[in-house]
Amino acid sequence: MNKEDNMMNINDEVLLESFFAEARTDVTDDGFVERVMAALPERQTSFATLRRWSKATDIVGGIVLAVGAALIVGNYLSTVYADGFSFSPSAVLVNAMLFLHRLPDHIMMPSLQQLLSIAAAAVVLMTLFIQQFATIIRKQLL
Amino acid sequence: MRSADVILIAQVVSTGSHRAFAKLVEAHQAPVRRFLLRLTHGDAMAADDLAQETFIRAWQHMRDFRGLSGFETWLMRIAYRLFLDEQRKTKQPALTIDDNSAAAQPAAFMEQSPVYAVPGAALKMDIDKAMATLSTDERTCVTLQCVEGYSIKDIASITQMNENTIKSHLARGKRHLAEYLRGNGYS
Repeated sequence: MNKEDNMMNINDEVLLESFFAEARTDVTDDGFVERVMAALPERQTSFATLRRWSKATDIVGGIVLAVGAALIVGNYLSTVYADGFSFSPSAVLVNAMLFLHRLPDHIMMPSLQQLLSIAAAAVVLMTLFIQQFATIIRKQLL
Repeated sequence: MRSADVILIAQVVSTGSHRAFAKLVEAHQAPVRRFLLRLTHGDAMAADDLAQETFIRAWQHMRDFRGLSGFETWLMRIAYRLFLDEQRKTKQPALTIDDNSAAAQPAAFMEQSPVYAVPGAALKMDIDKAMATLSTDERTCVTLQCVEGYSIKDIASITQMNENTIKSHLARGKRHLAEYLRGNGYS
């Protein structure tokens, strides 16, 4: 390559550099990011799996809560109304007071029914805790 | 790769964080859209559609990003492939200085002078008209090197072309462009 060709190449480079300097314009957002985010499909992630599991535990927890509540109420009724059933307000009040008075005995020597009630309540509480924890983490990340 | 990108990518992959992905889009939307704007002859709507699809694909396949190249290089590769797919679908003829067929030189686009006046400034050259005289491959390589500043190695990673092929496209593209600019009074 001779001197003239070298000069032509240098001149070309200078010309092109000047031309492309104008092409390097900044592209403003003008809502592009928003449009992209609105169009994103749902993505399978390990966190999404955790969210689905927490919803499943909500349902299971609800059933367990209902069963636990029924056991607790049933236990109360069978204890206080062992000698007969009465709807009068004074009878209800007396039976409630007797139940509370006998509560320490129930706690120290729980029956199978009472143990099941306690276990059900513990599962429900844990489920609610996990679900709330997952919601807090999700809100932090979004 | 920027350390900020590494943290954001990790958040997106592990937790699907929309906030982290929005930050990635914000950081890289300009070069991707600018690149596609040159490839589509300045068609802003077509370029933005392709750019949007680029980021959606990146979101869906974030786990496939291995970090061997920069994140932006990976995005450009996706953008380039989408552009080629779109070209194949629409069967658009490439506008090239070497092709004399009428179909390759749309009259409405090429008949107007590429040089235009800006009040109080020297004559400016319409970049898209000038770049339209190059073949698709030449325009791609010239845009990536001269506008976006990528190295030959990065261009090879984006386009999956051989480095020698890229050098050849660059030399030819720049020569054609310089001739065109001088021929139209640009200096």
